[in-house]
Amino acid sequence: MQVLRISSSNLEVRGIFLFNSVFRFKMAPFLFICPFFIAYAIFGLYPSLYGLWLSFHQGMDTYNFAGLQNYILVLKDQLFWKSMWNGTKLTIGSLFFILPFALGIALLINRPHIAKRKGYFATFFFSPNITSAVAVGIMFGFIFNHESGVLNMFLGLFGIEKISWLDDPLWTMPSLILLCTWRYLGINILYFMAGLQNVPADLIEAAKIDGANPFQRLWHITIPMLRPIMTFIVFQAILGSYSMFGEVFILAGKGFGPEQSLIFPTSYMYDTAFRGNDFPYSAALGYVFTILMLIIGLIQLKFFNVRNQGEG
Amino acid sequence: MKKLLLYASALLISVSLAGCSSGSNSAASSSRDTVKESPKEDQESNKTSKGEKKKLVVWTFVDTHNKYYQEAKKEFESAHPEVTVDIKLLENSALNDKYTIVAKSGGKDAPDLIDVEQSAFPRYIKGNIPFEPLDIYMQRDKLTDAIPKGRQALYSVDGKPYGIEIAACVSALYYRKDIYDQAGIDVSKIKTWDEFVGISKKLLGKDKFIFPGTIKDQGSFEMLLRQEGGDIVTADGKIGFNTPEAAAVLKRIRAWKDAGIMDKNSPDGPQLWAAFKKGKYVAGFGADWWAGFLLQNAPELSGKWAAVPMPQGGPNSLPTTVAGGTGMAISKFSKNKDLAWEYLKLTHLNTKMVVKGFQIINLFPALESASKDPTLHAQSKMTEYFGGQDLANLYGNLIPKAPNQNQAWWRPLVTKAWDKFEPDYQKGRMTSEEFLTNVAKETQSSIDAEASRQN
Repeated sequence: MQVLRISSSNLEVRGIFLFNSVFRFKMAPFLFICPFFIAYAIFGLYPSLYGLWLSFHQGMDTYNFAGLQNYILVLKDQLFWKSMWNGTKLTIGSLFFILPFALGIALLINRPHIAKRKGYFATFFFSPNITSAVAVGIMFGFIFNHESGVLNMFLGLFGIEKISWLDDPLWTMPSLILLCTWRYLGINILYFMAGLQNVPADLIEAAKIDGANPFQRLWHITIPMLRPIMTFIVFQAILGSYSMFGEVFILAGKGFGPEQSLIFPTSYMYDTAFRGNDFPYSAALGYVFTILMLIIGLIQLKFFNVRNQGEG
Repeated sequence: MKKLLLYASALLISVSLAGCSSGSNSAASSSRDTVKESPKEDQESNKTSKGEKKKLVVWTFVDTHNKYYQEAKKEFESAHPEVTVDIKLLENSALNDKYTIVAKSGGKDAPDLIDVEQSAFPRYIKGNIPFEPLDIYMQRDKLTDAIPKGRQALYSVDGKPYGIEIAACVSALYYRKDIYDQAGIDVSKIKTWDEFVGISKKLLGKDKFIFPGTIKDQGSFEMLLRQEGGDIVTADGKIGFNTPEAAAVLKRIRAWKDAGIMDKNSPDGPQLWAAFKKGKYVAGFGADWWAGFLLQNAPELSGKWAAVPMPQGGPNSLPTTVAGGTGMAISKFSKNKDLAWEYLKLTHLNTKMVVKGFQIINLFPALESASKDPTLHAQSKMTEYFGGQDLANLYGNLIPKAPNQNQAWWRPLVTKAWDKFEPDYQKGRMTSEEFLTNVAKETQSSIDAEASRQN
């Protein structure tokens, strides 16, 4: 009954107290994290939402509502699917060439007698990753030059005929995979090395005692233990391959490469918007691309069985 | 009090960090564009109030143009003390992307004047053109015929000029006079390509060609097609390269490559000029800027070269062609259009200033009245390089004969279609006619697709 007799002024005081305690407790962290959200809202969220709005319109100078027309056209656009196919080819190259190569080097660096110098190796392999994409494109343009390129000169030492790396559609993708290997090998080695620190040495030791050979230890212990980091590395490789832009923009020049072998979704989006003056269609291309990337990401997560990764 | 201080400091840090993030973004874009001016200054570029000077902002992407415009700025500012000219040097792609964004977002921070490279111009002529038509200004100042029609066509849409070309870009045939003289060949008497190629065969040898060449034929094709009176775009804006003349040009290039007259794949960059120095190539055809590159990159060959009008191919052939170009346009969003026109007039249409510009830029001017100026005909490093030859006289005579180069918004689509089919053409899987038909069909299909999306 006493509780019922609490006056309204008491309630008010208690309310203010409660509000203040919650407010005092939560306001400061929000203020500390808000710079990111402010920047994100301006430079990330707003353009994304504006892009979404734009993708439902058509026109160059004035935009008219067009419903799903742009999305229908994107799905019928052969050039878009060609760009996705090129992205798929580069993804395959990244997954089956760059990543195993990076894992091999990471395993090598992780060996006890080399591990002491791993900082040196990390710097050596990582430096290409911080080189600007434009500089890399220009540099590899020279390396791949048919007549004066270093690569053809090197192959010439072994009697191999000159290859038209950037002019023959059969060789453009291998050229790009070579470029990506140089550029992204280091960062992938670092990721794998970080993952290898989580492989318990005693588990490897126990396997050795049980008579497991190096390949069995790699296949049955190391690789399964690397699964969480591999989920991330593979997703990065897929996303990076489909989103290839700077390097191909330089290597392909004003076109999309021989037989359109250097067109990628992002370079197609850029061309549509800036050369074609068609920002709404470019926005629709971007959204379809994003949705496809999400689907590929979900399939990959399913493949890596992410939900059960935490379970022993 | 303590809590209050905590909130205040958190708020202060938040605001300053948010400021940092936007600041760093501007800085990033600035560094990309190689513009060193702050955005605040940009916003104020067109603001004027009593007592404040008006600011004329000029964007260019060529360093030599920048130097020339700086020279013109001194003259302009002394004639217009109420104005300051602010010239910004940007990277070419960044300049065009930035202007496209500015135009799309209502013209805020737009420059008053902008240098547009001819291959970038098509992106601006689809839809509302973000430049001021110059016909009224040219008519008012009686300058309609100051620039040759062929050069003016490059920046004209529906007969209206939107830019003024700085260079004539007329082409000639350049050859190693010492080598040809030694072989007893007088190139100046040669009239046709067939004659030139036939007589030059005696100079061929292992790793010795007449012309450099590339796997992609599009560049040479476009130049030689214009020499035959054709063009990628017809005067009425249609596809102009699927013709018997164009097929003949493509066949000529292939014949040159097959006979070893033209190298199938020359090295790039410095190694190309090294090949010239070694005598791997003994001739070349190109605009005056190509001869400038030769002088700059192979100075050891000074005095060994000569230039003549281009030998002719078919019945409609001309003794020259055109390649490249950069026009200056007035932004549609400029708040000082009359002043901008005055500056444009000074840099591109004033004989005295254009002659001064020739000494800085080293490009033969498009302005017809300037081509007769004695300064252009005086001895220089360039004339010395060409054995004392009066190159200005040669270019001056070629300018009236130069072909048109027409513009269309879809011109860049040709390169994409060309790239699609060229590997098969180069491997001999299709004839010149089939190749051009395929490129034309692909281009038309891309034009239709883009047009239907935007209608």
